[in-house]
Amino acid sequence: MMESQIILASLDWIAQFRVLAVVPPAVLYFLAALLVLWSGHRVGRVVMLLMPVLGMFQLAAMFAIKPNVTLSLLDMSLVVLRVDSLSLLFALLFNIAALIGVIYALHVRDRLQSVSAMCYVGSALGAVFAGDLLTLFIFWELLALSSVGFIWARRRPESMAAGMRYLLVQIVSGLLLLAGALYLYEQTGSLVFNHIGLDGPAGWLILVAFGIKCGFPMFHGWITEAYPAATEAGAVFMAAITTKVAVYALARGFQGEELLVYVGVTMTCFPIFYAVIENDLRRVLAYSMINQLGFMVCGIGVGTTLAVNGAIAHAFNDVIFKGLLFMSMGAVLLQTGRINASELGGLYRTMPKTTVLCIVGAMSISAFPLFSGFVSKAMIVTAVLEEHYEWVWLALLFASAGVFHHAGIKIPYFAFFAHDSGLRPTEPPTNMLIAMTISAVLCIGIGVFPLVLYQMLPFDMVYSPYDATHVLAQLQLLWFSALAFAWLNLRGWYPPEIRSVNLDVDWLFRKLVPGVVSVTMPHLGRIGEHLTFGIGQGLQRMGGFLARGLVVLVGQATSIRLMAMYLVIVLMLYLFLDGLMMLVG
Amino acid sequence: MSKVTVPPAVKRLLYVFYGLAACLVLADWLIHRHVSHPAESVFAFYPLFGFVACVLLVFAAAAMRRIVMRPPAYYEGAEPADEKSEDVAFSESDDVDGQILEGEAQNRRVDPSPGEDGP
Repeated sequence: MMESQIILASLDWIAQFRVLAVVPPAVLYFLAALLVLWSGHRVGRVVMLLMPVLGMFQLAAMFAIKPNVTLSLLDMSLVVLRVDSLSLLFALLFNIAALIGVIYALHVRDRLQSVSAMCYVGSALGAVFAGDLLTLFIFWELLALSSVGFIWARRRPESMAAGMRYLLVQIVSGLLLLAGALYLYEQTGSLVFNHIGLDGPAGWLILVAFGIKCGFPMFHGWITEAYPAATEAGAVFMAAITTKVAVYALARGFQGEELLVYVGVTMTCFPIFYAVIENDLRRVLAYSMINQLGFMVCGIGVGTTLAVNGAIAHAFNDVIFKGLLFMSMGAVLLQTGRINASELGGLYRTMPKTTVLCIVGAMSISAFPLFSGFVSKAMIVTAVLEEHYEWVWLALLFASAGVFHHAGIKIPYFAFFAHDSGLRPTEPPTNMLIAMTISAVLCIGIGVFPLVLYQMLPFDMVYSPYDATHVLAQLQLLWFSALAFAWLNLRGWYPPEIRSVNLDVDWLFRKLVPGVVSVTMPHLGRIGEHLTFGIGQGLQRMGGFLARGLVVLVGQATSIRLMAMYLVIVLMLYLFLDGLMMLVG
Repeated sequence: MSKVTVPPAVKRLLYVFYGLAACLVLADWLIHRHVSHPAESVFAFYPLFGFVACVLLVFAAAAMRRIVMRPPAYYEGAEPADEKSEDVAFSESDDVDGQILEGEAQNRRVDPSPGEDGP
């Protein structure tokens, strides 16, 4: 009684801040980015720390008022602020992630990363509050543009190329989204972003756009390439946001599409094989991220109240525990300059705090009872079984055992224990330890008091993860998974960590395409030249069409599909040629 | 490959670990579980599943290496040689299967030590 009165009173108080509640959070973050850009390190630090706090306060005001802000552009009305429980929860999540990330990166004197971080979080908030597909598209692309800074900030020759490849993939995803959105507009006359479904080509285009950002199988190459290529702090931000925006979008647009169950279950299973043999520990985390995303996609596909709630809760928990794991590996990278399992080991001697924090993250991702992963993954697995997806359920069990194996044990074991590497690094800077501690407390807090999270979920449900049957089953599964690890290790059968590259889908665009081009180009010689010239001329002509298309668009809205197709084709061609030049050159 | 030698302290920990594993299996008798799938009612279903799944996972992944593993500089082949500096020497002795890759092992650059100061 008392508590609810206090809550009501504080909501009344917060409701006074009406002005704050109707400003899109993205605008605030972009202003913060400008401030950071023009101020020194000290002021910039304070701005970056205060921004997420202000952001959370703003969310409370939005919760009290539930504003709906619409802008009009040409004849369309763009909903820049649609506030409901789903968008609020993801916004809260991104603000928490931003706060933890900023604390983690407090010591970094790099304006590129600071500005990227503010723009990136702002774009993510813009995307989750977008009420129509055009607004979503704008923030979708801004998300890509602002995050590439985290890769380029590493300032190595290979990070330049990795960043370009990342950008290419993300922008193609955005273009597909735009094409789908305009197609949908042509069909229905509305751009509102609600359930989309797979009834027509528009739905498929948008699904592929979301799928690229969500790391669907065959589109997952950018995840395993970009995250290990980013800076220590950059990887923490990136891991928290891009893919979770995609999960949000899928939950909004494709809830209950059965296809997603099978896509999701594939995502949970195939990366764990790669994770077992991968040497770069941040890439192991990237693979395990695909695995975790698979659970969420699966939950969205099942589509029941429990399943979708589970997927969203798992996204929430994943941001925190995956963030914690990326932070601990970032600390290792910063302190030792190494991240390959073959070069690490024995660090617990001099980095005991980081070791413990990393283990908390590892227990959470493995879904140990009393840790956060357990309370959300349990919902998805239970929902899958309730809907009688029996083989999917078995595959999810396999993936659960596997994730403990490769993320829960492998990460802490090879970094902090295993053989002594002889390295004696000190603990990372205090701010990093504080950020990791906040995450660790959240991991355990949510694991012990899951109701706090459950109450924020969009659908009402009655569910308790802590019954004897389920706890025992999970403990048995994990314990014997660990036993397998111990047994294989003692027998000397565990695959040794080897410095190597493992072929994955990125081979297609890093080797096959450039290879084909470099083999065929000299032979084609003049034909190639003609071709390039022809394409150039074609592009010019298309530019002309495009301009005419624009004129037509302003005049009458019916030719919008024509215009969209021109736009997409021209941009795609441009990107393709640009990418080709880059790969060849 | 031979068995790995284990220091006594770790051995004690392992015994505790095995003991708890046995307890967890025995708990199947003590705790009445309400099952929603027939497979769950098989005795020790979850322990067996966890163990077998992980052993198969590791063997399959090790076999996968034969197909997908390439030297560490595989994607850097086209880069000019002056981009790379000498690696700091470190022990590669644990790389049991790594002999074929040792040639490339020296090609990778170590992170330049980041120029940040503490808070």
